Amino acid sequence: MPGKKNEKITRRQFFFVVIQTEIGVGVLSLPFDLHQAAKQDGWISLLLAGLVIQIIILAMWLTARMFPHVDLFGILPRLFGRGIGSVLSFVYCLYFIAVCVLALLLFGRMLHLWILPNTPFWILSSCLAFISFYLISSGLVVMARIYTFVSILLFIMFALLLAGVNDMQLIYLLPIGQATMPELAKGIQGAGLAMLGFISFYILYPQTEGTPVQRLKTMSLANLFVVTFYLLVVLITFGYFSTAEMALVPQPVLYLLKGIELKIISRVDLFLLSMWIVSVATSFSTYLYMSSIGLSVLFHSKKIRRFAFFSTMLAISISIYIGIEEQPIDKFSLLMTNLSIAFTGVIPLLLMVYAVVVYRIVRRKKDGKA
Amino acid sequence: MNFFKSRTKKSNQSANPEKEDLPNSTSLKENVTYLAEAFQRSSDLKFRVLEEGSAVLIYFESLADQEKIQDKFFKPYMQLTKDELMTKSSGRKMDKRKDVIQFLLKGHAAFAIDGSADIVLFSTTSTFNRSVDEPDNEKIVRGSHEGFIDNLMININLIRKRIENKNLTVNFSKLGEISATKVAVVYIDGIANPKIVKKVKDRLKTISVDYIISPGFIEEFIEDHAYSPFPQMINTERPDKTAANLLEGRVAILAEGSSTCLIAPATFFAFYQSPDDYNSRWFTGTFIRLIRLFSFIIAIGLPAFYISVVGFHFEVIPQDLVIPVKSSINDIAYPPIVEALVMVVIIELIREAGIRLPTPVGQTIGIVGGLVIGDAIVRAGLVSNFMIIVVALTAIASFVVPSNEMSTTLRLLTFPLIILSATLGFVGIVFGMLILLIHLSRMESFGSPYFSPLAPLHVKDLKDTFVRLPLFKMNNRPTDAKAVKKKTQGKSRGWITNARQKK
Amino acid sequence: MARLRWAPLLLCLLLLTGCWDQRQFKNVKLVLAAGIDSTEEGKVTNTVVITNVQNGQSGNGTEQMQVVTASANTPLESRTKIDQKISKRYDQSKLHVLLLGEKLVEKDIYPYLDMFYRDPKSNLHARLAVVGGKVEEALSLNIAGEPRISEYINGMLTGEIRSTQMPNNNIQLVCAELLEPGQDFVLPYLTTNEEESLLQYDGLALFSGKSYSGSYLSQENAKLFLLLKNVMGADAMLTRKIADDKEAVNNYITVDVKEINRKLAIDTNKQIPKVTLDVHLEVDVLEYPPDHLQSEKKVKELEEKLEKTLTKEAGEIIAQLKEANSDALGIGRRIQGYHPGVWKQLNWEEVYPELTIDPKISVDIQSHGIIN
Repeated sequence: MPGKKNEKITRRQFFFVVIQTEIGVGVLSLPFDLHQAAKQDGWISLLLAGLVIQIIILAMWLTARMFPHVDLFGILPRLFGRGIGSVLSFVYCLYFIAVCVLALLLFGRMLHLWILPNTPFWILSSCLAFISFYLISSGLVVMARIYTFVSILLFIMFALLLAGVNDMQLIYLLPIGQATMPELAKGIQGAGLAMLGFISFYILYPQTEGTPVQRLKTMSLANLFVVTFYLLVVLITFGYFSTAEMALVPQPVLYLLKGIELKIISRVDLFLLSMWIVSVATSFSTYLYMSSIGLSVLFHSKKIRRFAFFSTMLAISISIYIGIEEQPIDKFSLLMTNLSIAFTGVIPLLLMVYAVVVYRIVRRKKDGKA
Repeated sequence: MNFFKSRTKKSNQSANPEKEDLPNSTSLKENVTYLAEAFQRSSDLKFRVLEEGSAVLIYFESLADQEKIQDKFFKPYMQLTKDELMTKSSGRKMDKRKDVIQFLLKGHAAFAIDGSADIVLFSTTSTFNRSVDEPDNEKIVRGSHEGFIDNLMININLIRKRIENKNLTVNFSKLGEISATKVAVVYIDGIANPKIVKKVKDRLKTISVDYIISPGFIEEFIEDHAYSPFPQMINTERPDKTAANLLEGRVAILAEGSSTCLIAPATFFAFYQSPDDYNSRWFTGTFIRLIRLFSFIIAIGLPAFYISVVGFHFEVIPQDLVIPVKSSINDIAYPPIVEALVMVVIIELIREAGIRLPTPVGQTIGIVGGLVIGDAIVRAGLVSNFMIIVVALTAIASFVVPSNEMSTTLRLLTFPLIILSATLGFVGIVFGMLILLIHLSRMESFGSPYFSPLAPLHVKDLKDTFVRLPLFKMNNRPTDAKAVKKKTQGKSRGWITNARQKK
Repeated sequence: MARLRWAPLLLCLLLLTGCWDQRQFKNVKLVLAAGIDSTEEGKVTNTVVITNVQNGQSGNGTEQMQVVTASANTPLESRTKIDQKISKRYDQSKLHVLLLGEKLVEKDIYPYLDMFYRDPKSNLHARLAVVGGKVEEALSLNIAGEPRISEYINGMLTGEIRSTQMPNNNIQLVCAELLEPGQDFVLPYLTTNEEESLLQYDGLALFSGKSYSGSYLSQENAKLFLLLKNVMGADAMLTRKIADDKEAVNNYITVDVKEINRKLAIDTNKQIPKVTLDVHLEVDVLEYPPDHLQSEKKVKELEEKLEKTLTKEAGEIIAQLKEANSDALGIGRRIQGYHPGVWKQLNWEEVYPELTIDPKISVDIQSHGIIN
């Protein structure tokens, strides 16, 4: 049976939900994106992105702390009133579904390129989406349990990558500090896209045990973990591929493992890809969960499963409509990059400013009157 | 289901409730006639007329023990007067027809006298018990070799012998409207979580069927997820295992006429534990437990993995194995999925045939199936050598599980994974495993998570799940049973520190 | 119950899905060794060795090699032509060894490797080698006791890697150095020994940029070159002449390098950078018939002699590298890494041959086996 109502997740589960949401589709191509933007200095961009995200987390925390019992979809109407709040909530739901669509598309394309070139995309996308639907219909507690469990795969993925360390040439990481500021900024954008999941903080915050400071600490730890994980992945791939070769390899993590033969098994990349599917499923599920929670709040309904089904179907249909040809995906992901800056960067910061400055003053005045 | 329902109703109507509730008549003749009618003049109901028709001894020949009748009835009967017999003997006076019928069915002998509404019942039940031998399906190497038998009282006796504690609570109830099977709920008050005990009792109460033949019936009625392939209650015939589980705060359900005991709540990993783990040294116990859990992965995943390798991603075969694998499967006529299905089905056939047949014949079947068919099928080019290895390994791995139910489940789960892997390769396996994982994680057995301690993660419980650390390290009960009393021991190896202090 | 409603639907869906990507292993023709060469007219010749196996009732069955060749404009086009000559289609995702013809590698080799880099199924772990002479001949060799040519060549190359005759190489590893400016690579150079019907490892072919420079390091020099490059296999034995005795065999000493300590210093103050290459070798003596290695003086003397010989050889190797314009030591990439400002002003291809590279090898004899 689905988890009981009002059951909160522990801080450890919260930690894993966040990292599983953040580490998803992006991890395979992250080094390439960083390299495109800032050459061998891409990892600096990654660290900077981690820093920026930490600031946003702080902002989200300041906002969320003022409303300890409601999530984003409860905060928005409280801050802006029912009308504007609902519109904003709805837009956020749509944004989450759009992220789902992007995840499905990139997932489909990756499988299409690497492992199943002839299998129709709709099969793969609907399989993934329905598994995720099954997952989220069990409730957040069960999701958190599973996320915690599958996190072991991250360590296995990392261990597999270590096989490439032998053939690394550290010289490829040099020279350091050649990238210009705009290049680094572009890198931050690319890295941010791989770490979007931190936005789930808004939704998970009220459903997690612990004091506000403890929760902030856990969130920051999760962010640190993700940045460290990515950093190691990026450094290994940067050291393995030469600067010139990197430009040709869009999925360096897989490509690295493709050339490695272990004694008991060769083509390790296929195993990594299989484990990556789990990571995609988890982050996809979180977004789907967030959007269905949002929709159910909007429509004052308790039947989250119904909205989850709706979101799933919507994500599948849009993704099939867009298709997995190179051009539309690139256009869509560019659009999503820009949207994400707004939804996960600018809006949380503005919300914080509004909540802390404007809302607090208004409330104080009201309290004074009363 | 409708069929059963209607039958239940009819049987209720056919019984004669008004008459049954009546007290016995003072007329002997009326009483005897009534009883004879009540049992449909069943031939094994014996009426023994005494004292020229003024008294009758009634009993079921098939239930009562002649010697006991001699002992308990005739000996005092010779010495005492009728009135004394009514009051001073070991018999029990009954004045309700219903009660008399109940006790006659238990094998008691009823003594009725003309002119008295009281009927005296003597406990003369004959019992045939097999000895408390070790159950065949749960053999262990070291430790207790006793097993439950088909008698409820003896089974409870076996448990009580192991836990001599006043808190060991036994609650009887009757299940099955026709069969009226006696069912016992056993738990230790003060350790078992009252919520779980209540849940078990409540669920038992709601069962409304005609008959309960075995605990398997009860299991299906009270488990949380009837549509899951996984067993959610431990089935065991071992008193020591039962006692250990009771001490962990679980609840046991026993039924008259069956040697199987049900234990709830159960977790997935409980099915991978055997008393042997604790009887051997903890290194060995740990090693064996790891092997068993590894066998889970082999049992459900190996055929699927092999099929997706030879059907989709043969790139993953290491360079040195390429030619051996290739030469083994090169001339096989069928695609690997057919090969695998054929082999899995053959193994199931052999297993099923082996179980039903008498032991000597069963062995022959094993040899014929395993050796002759296995060898011939490869020579005929129907199945490749590698597939035989894979499927045989899978079968062996599934038999490693100490629990028979879980082992069957595993073999059943192989099929969907085989199909998935034959359609989507590795991706299919990952999808299948994900569904399985989600399913396991969302299941709950009487309110405690089924896949604990992995999901939700309880790091402390892992020491008695994947490994078996020394017993003196297990200071707390596993969390999944939600025991009220957490601590299991103090400093059991306190003598070390004591010795040090003396020095 | 709600979840059960669509569960059968999902199941049907899965069952209905055919097997689009199924590639039955039993249905492919395995290619374990392949070679690419060029013809006189500049076309590409593709040679593949197909391993046909027959099922044995017990054991591994029998294997037969089928060598097929075809020429076309690109490697993949020639592949199509080969497919027209064989039953079914061949599959090179388990390729073990890829041979490149000497004539072919004189041009840019990237176009010929492109199909391997681009294909998700290709085996990037396959070893690469350059063959002096015709690739087809090398692949058609019938080697006694070695049923599979792929196994033979791969085993040979692996042996060379272990004994520090060549660097670890495969299609993937070459790519990094192939594309990176300021870094060149080497490939093993094999020749066909027709008398003995064998292949023979002859040394390391020096590449300049993306094409073969035309000269190769002899196998005697290859080992020292690798030590200069700070690359070592499982062992690295060096036999050098250190005396002029009557008994010829007494003039030589064989040492096994245990550890390399390399320092590559680049002095960029001048117009053209100056490179000093200090290599310190810690060695064990494996063979030295004159004995008496317990004396410190003797050891010192031997060390000095070895140092002298090796330094001289290193100079020759570097001269050959410069002549071939092959920056196989990766000096350019180091300048780029540590002195990016200097690198931007240099036209490396022109500067490299002018470079002063000063090798200095020091030897430290650590042990001398179980006799003195």
